[in-house]
Amino acid sequence: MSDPRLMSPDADLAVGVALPEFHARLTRSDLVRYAGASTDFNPIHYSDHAAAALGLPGVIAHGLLTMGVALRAVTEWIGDPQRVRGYSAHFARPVVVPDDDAGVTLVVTGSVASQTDDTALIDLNVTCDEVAVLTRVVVEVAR
Amino acid sequence: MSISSSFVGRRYRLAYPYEVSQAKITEFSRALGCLPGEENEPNPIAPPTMAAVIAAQAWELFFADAEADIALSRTIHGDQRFEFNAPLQAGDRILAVLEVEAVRARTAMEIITVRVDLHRLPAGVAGTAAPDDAVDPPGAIVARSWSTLVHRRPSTEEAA
Repeated sequence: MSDPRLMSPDADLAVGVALPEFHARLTRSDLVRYAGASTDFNPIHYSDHAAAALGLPGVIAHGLLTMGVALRAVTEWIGDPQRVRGYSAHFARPVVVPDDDAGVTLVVTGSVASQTDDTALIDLNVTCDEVAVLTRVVVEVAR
Repeated sequence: MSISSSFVGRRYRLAYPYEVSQAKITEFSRALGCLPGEENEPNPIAPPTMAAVIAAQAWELFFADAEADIALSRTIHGDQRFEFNAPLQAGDRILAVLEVEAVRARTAMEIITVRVDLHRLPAGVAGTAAPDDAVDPPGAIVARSWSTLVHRRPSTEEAA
């Protein structure tokens, strides 16, 4: 926390301000829970043989689970999800989740890239095992 | 017939609204790991990306269109963008309308962009069993979702 750019979000979301690095672990259990909550029951998100049949390296996380979890890096920083006005991402690489207790860890970093009169655009880096899984990730937040 | 640029502008409108419940907000929040502690009051505001859960109902109508001849199992979600005007809250009745915005043909695939508008129905307005897809439902748009879908054409083997 000695990074001088790590400031409270109350500091007007000035361009260049970085948000705290955010970590979230995903296990198979989280995928099953998200499948139920979202009603997205595509078997590539829980079945090894269904994933293999599509040529995937393993069971993969729902893209919108990855997006939803990554957004927490911003909402927990600014403290109010209602301030999120927009959110976009490119699904660059699948997040392969092994069937073990450790699962995988998403790492989210980012900083304020630009401002308008009433919003700030925050660019995020979302990686898993140091590979960018989401790219072109932008969150628009009301100031 | 199969999906082509002639589908641009086609709309798919749900007949009945999705009713946002406190239980679903809690379930979805927990699935993203963002539920406040058990000792906290339940959060009345849905995590923003819960909009995609309701949008998915309109996707089902689109994928069920036999004329489009598309299959979710041959589709990869390439890009996603949301615009949020108001949070989803318990008690909201949301009607989703999907519109095909673009279809670009590639060698063995189509790249399809769809937009789903989530309308919050005013109190007292019911759904309609035979919705007119061309007509916007009443109520403010609380969220919009744009998705770019990469759809692989079935091989002749699969089509047979």
